[in-house]
Amino acid sequence: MGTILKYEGINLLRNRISIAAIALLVVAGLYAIYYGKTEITRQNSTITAVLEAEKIKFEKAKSAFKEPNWSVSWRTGRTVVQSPAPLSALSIGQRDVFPYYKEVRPHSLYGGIFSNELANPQKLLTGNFDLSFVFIFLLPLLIVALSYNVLSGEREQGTLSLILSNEISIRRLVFTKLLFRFSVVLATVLSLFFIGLVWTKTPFNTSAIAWLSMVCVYILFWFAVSFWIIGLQKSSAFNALSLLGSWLLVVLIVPALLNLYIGTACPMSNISDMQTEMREMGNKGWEMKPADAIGQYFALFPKNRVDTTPENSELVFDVAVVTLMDKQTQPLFDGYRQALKRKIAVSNALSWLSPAAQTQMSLNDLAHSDTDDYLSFLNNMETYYGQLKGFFDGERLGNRIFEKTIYDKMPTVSAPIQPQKMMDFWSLIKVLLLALPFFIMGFMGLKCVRNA
Amino acid sequence: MIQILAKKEFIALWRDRRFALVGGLIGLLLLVATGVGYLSYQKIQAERLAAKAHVREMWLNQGDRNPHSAAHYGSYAYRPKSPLSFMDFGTDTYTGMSVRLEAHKQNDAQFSQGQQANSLIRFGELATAFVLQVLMPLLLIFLCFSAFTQEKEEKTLQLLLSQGVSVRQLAWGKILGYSAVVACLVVPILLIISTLLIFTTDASFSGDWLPRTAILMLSYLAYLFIFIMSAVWVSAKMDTSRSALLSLLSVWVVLCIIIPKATANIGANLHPVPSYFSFNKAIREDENKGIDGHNPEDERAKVLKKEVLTKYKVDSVSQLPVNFDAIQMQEGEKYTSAVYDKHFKTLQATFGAQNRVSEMASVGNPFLAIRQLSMALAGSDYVTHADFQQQAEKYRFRLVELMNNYARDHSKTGDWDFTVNKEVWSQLPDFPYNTPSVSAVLGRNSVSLAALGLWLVLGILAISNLKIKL
Repeated sequence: MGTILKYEGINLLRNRISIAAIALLVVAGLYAIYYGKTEITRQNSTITAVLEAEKIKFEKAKSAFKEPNWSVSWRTGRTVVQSPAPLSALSIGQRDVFPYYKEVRPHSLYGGIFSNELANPQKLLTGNFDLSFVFIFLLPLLIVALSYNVLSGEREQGTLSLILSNEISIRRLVFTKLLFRFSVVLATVLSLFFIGLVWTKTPFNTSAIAWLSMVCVYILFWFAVSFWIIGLQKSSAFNALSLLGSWLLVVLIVPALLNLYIGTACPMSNISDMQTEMREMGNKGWEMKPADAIGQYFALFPKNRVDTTPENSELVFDVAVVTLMDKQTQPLFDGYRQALKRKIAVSNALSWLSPAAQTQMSLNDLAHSDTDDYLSFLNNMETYYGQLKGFFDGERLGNRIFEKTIYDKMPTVSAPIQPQKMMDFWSLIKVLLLALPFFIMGFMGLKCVRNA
Repeated sequence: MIQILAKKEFIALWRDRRFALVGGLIGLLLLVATGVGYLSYQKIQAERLAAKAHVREMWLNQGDRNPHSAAHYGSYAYRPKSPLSFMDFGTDTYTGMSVRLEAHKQNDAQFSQGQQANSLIRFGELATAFVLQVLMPLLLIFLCFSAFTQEKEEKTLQLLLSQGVSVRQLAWGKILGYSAVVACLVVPILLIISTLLIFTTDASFSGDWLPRTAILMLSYLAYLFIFIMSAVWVSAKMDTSRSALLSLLSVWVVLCIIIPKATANIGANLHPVPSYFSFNKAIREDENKGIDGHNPEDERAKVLKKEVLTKYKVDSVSQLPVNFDAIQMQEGEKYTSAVYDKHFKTLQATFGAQNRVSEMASVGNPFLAIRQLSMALAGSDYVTHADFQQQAEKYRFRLVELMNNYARDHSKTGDWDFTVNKEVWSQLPDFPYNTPSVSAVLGRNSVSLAALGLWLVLGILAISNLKIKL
């Protein structure tokens, strides 16, 4: 076995094509890390700029504050942000599709919730060249290129019988050769991964370990598939074609079919109806008779009841209308969220059909860059909106006119805790289970030498 | 002679079970992609047309209102799906379907399908275009990689050549044979697409769709033919089937997987897009330099007032026969509209510059050429979307202008209680969306068109001058 490993090493070093393929992957990986880093750095500096501008805005508002008034609340809000998790530079996921900062004001959250970050649709369509792309799309091709002819090559060169005459079983031969290639691939992946961590200043924590483990399991899956095809003991051309066909199936066709299915099976709530509905509610709300609006509001929130006087009736009316509108809009918004959650659940349930899709989603999940994380951003916005609106409503209903101190008193956005994700054991197991039958078939196929 | 050779290849392939299997699979994928694509196109289109009719209804039946309130109430512009987009979804998954139209403000299109999914969507959806652009070339490689190498390995090449067949004739014979087999697979699908298109006679169907479809089909045939020629050429130059196959597969990976992603990302790095925050900040700053439609204390408003008073030869706004508020509002609208236009056009130009990197790369990569051409002809590329946004903005401006001018001519300054009814609302026509003409599309995509032509000519020249070392 030692001898085989030694000569495999020499062979690899002398094989220009293999070296070129590895070099290509490393270059692609380095570019991917660079690209992910620029994208995430850009997002981070945008967040910094937004928060900085907000600070200046508040300072200006304070220094320009002339006399107590009621209109401060209409102009005053704070920005809720969804900072990128460190690992997201390695798998950008959906972070380029969704907004990640939004100013929340105490009057209607839902009006502006769907405004987008600017993004080139064609760029979104093509996708990100990040490290997860290199690992999921390109790495299997390297594995295929390195291993498709480990047995057939020897046979076609006429060296197979020579090797087998050395009292080594064919299983052992193939296994050793694949083990060697696995080490080479693993070394490449580990180097790229750690370069990525250092370059993007990502801590090596549980999330990072889980991310790396997922990639390793994915590599194992591809070696198992190679093992199976090699076990069929056909020609190199057959192997290359079948392996490429498997790659095509797992990486391109099955995910594309899944999307086709999910797109038709899980229709989204009709958002266009939702936005026109929201406009109608806005209009009807402000056209309500003050007495009706205030009456309905106090009926819903008896605790907030205050005496209405000619002086405060306009304020109470504002509070009442905004609250009633929110109350009506909320179900529409929840419907949208429910439909999105259902869709995510279906894709999660089906993604095992393609280990590539499973791995990609697991990597994005570990990097906090998938749609789930956007949903939690929406939750954070809603929570802060509740706090902010509650505060201003309390002040207005309590007839405490806004003084300069309001800017210090109003609630701040509590930074959401992004928990370190634990090992995603279930995804690991799913991909391993998918690899297992291929490994067994390969093992069976290599029982004896065929057409030697 | 060429005919005999072609016939031989055709029959050999036709009898080849492996080809039947792979070809059958791809044919099945083509059928599924076209069928599901067509159904979902119909569904989305019906939804959008219904939504369009609904907002029109809402606009007409908004009740009695002040014209400027109506401008604030506004409307929505829905982008109809283009008829051919069922075979190439293009950027449609990532472009918003509607634009909110309101006074003082130009909005971006919202609600893309890409935002209503998780990251699985980034693997792409199975569209007919994807099968034709990405999977078909693989089938072609599979068909053609051993065209010459097999003859070399089986030593039949010398035999053939010694019978007086030239290398050129042999190559063309093989190419024609393979093309005939591929045509049996592709032409029916293209016919199905055309038939489906003819049955799609919705409102947005204009006479342009026939030339569009014809050019699209020809481009696909040219694209596939380029792949057949290249694969046969590589097979002629290589010694063994194995090396021919490996080189062709590597080329495929580089052309169809790596380069498209790399050029899109390089484009994004070369031409950075501002954040939504700084984009809005720049708009705000420019807006503040102009007239404020709602603030009579604004300095520029005072200048405008003087001009209007001089024009009507009166001393105060109350003597004006027209509503000065409305005049001021329309002046403000003109200004803000120009500001938004400037910034949105700059943004669209930035996106255009990013996409141009891929377009230029298509000179070296026929995949990028067909991808761009196909999206553009199917009406699902970014430029068609940007054109929709510009049409929506024109319509928005028209809406606001109509409201302001009506108030100017029919009410007095300061009369905010002035209301009008449906008669005025119906003066605004429904949003008229026109898809760009086919000549405009071709003009914009001349690089991709030329690239495809170039590859076709290069292929023909290379085969016509083919020489084989024996």
